[in-house]
Amino acid sequence: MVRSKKRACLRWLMFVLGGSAWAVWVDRTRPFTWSANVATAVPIVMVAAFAISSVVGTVQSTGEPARDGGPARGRGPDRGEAPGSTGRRGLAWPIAAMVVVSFELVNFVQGPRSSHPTLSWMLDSLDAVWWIKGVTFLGWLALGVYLARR
Amino acid sequence: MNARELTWVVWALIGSGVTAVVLISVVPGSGVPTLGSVISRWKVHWAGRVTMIVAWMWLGWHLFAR
Repeated sequence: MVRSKKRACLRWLMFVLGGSAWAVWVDRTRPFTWSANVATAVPIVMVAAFAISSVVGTVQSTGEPARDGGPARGRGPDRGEAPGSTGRRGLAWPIAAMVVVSFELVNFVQGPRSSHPTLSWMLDSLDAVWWIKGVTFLGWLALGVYLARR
Repeated sequence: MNARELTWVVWALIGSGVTAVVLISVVPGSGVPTLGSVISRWKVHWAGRVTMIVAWMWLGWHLFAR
């Protein structure tokens, strides 16, 4: 028990240190350059490989991949919940996502950006601040690892 | 009010709305699932997981490489 906690702490420490070092490199790159492509592509490939190995691990340990509404096989309390079990209020997130995406698209097709700013245009302005770009990169990396985990 | 100001006002309203959903979702008994629980549910299905990972890849490429 204590050993597994120590391992988990060590993994997180390695992630934070490695991710921070990588974020410093990403912060020094500029979009549309080879260094930016490599600095972004390497974590993408690593997370994709991690996700594939997680799925393969699930198939090997259970004999079949997880199916819709199937029994809970992984970790966490939400594994066995049926989708949409919260009723109408559960629609709050899909509706919020649709509103954001719709307005983003409206601004994207209209121009110029200074009059119709998109989310990425706003984030580009924030990315000029080095620590905001670093924190954004670390957050993006952590989200990828979370999504790839079983 | 010109187009630029109108766009910023709408973004501010949308941001406030999303923040309200986040805050309501963490209130016990509100019935609105938290963002974490929504993502966890999507992760159970292979199609949901693949969709989210592809969206994550696109987001990173868009933000840091392009």
